[in-house]
Amino acid sequence: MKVSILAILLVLVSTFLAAFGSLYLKKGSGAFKMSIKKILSSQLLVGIFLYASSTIFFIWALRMAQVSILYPITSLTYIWVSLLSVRVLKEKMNSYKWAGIVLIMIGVILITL
Amino acid sequence: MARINIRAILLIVVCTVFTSLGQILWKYGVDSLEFSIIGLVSNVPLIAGFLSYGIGLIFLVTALKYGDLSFLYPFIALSFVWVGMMSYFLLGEPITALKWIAIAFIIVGVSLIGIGGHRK
Repeated sequence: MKVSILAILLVLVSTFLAAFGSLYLKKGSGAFKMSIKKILSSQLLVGIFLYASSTIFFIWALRMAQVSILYPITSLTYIWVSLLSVRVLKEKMNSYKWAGIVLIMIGVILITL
Repeated sequence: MARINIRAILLIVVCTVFTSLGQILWKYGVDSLEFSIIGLVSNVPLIAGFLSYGIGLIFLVTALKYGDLSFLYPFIALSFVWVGMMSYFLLGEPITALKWIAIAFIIVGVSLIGIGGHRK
């Protein structure tokens, strides 16, 4: 089964974009109240833009390789988000959360195989 | 560490239901995709899916107001569970034994995150 390196790279980029997008959504959530005005806070817009870009990269990758290969790679995003949360948001990880991440990743890989 | 953060968990779970709905709707919408103004605007599943994603986004950001990102983000994996179930009930797609095992892994994993979110 031929696997396109480019497709894998695109998905990897997609996971980074999704992780950073979530980070910005979290940062922007502080200002978010249920009003359209607040939605225009720049961090939320950056987050949405990054998320949209992530999707575009993934769809692009899908044209070159199968879902069953690419979807499991997207599970890396959970790792990136955990690392970014610790680094940037000063959140704490612990063995329960890491164990949960591992199990979730296994589940995501299995469900998309 | 005091009470479990029910509000944030409920918000993100509702988010995942809407994003799952959006995914299913888009799967329909993309099948009959026409790249014209009329074609796009009259593509009901596409528009509905878009709205569904938008509602999911609102719930996501609201949830993030009340909980840590590393605590809430993994809950997004629940969307795989909902999509699996919706595919079964709405599209008749069978849930294989492997899928059940995968769903179990995701649910246990998410539960561990939920427990872990309140420990130092």
